Amino acid sequence: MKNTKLQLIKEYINLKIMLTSIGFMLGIIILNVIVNPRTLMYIDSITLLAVPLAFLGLAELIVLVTGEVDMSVGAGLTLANVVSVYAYLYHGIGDYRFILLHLIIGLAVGIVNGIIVGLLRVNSFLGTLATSSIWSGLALVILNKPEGPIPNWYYRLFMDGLWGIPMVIIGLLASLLIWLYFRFNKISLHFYASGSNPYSAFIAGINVNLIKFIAFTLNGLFVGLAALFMTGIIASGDPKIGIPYTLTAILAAIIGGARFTGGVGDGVATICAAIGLTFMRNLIFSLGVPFYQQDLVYSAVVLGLLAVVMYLRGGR
Amino acid sequence: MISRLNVNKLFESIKFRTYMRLVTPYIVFSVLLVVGQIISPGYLSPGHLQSILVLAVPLGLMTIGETMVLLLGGNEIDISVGDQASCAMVISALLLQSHPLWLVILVILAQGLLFGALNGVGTRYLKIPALIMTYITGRLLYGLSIAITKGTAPGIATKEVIELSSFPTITIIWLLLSIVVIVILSKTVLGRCIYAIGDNPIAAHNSGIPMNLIAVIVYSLSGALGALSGLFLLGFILIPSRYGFASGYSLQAVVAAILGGVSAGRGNYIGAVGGVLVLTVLDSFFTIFNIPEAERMMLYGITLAIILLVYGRREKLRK
Repeated sequence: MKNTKLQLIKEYINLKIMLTSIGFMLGIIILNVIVNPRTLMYIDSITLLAVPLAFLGLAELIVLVTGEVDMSVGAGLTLANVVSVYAYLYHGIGDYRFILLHLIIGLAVGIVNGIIVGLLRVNSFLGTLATSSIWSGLALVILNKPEGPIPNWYYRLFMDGLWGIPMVIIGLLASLLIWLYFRFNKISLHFYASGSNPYSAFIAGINVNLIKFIAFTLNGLFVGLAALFMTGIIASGDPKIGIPYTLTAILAAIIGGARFTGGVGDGVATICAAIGLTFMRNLIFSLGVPFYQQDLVYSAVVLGLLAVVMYLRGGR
Repeated sequence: MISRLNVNKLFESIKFRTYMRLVTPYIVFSVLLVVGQIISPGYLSPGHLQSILVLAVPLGLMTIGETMVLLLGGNEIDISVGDQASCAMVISALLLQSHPLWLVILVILAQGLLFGALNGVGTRYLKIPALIMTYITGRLLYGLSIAITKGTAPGIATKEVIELSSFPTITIIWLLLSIVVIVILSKTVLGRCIYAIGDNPIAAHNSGIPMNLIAVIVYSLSGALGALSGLFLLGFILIPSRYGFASGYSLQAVVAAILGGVSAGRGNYIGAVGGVLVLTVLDSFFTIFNIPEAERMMLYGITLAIILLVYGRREKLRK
């Protein structure tokens, strides 16, 4: 019994993916510290910025594994953030329901995507593009400009931490544990099977469309968690916060080993990639690149690193 | 019994399906035009139809490239065409102040070909997924347009550009390029190779088609057409008011091509033109009703979802 479990663990861990991703993260953090040693003082707050991206990366990964793609994670995050802050500001919902609301909106967004892509069998790229447009518009209707504040206790939570434990550690541990619980659950095999060959999975008795629906539901849960941390970090509701996050999340999942054809990808590697990408932004900043060249340099560096990661991993 | 069988056969035959894929966007387009005429009389007047044919051109040019890229199949997609146009807008506004128009066109075509080739090399030789690769290229172009202007206003469109992008000229250019691309896709070696790769990449590889080279060529053409449409957009709005003005066009071009029935190795540009016209008319509806940006985004998403539900669905696994 113990032996088979060990074998399972060995099979679950793809060393090539893990090593490139961890190398990517550590390389960038070390480079960051060399360029600007003061980074060490802020290491926790920079990592906190990576937590929403880590959750969004997992949301994207879980869908990519089943062979679909979600172009609406950024818009979903925005909607959850905006609706919760709106409910607090105009309806006084500021207790535990404030947290619950993020998760409910996230789940609802995921379920709608799941119905459209999984049950109604719409092409996922276009279908989630459509819902992304709807969520962004809805967020702008609810709050047409960034507004605040958020409940004081929630704000203090991100300042002081929960029972003295900083929220960075809680966020990263939560993402890690949720992913590992999912990965060592039998259902994850159904996800990977549906992604690598939907027809064989169907023949083997897996309800592929239902699995895709569940994947999008879980994706929604991760989006809600990401929104929870995003609200704590920006301490306000911002109807345009999520737009650049969608493709960055896909980028994190790709560095985490996912492919658009489905069936592969690792969550731990995705979390590492999300941290690496966040530190990269910081690195460009501390290198003293002029403001108007930052976008150019950042994308060039991302392209170069992505090429190296893809080369090391070998093959698409 | 026999006649029913024949009808079933007709509906299931590949020829009929291909035909329907081409015709459906035009049916939707005509229905939208009639609806427009009912809601706001004068919608079908020659003047308004003319303006639709002008406003559709930038999206139409980008959709040419997008059609060719999507025909390659294998998750190939180009979401940098809009950014190519945005960057070309800034570069041409900057250069037009002191250089002749033909030189400016050469420069932006070079920009399009260069970054398009970068897309091709990245997806094919470095094996980066196309969605991510073209997104990063788009960000590079965005960064480039900020870096070369250093955040200052680049300049204004000249009279030549405005004339180039007004009614007869711009539509004739689109028509000519459409004919060229339809001929290329159906009659030339390049076109047949594109269809072969999209239909069955393994068979194409085994019959000695240089797949990577063709992908690089297709991405370069797509980039050049995106850059060219940037020049026309500059003629419309005169001053590139913000960086990334045309970025939204990338996804619209993808939607237009797919609405026109384009997928791996299937469909052609005639259908995609229908998709372009449908999107342009939808946009003009939003303008007529004076719908604000937020509601416009929601309505656009809902319309897209409805269209997809009607004909954008995967086949059932149970056959």
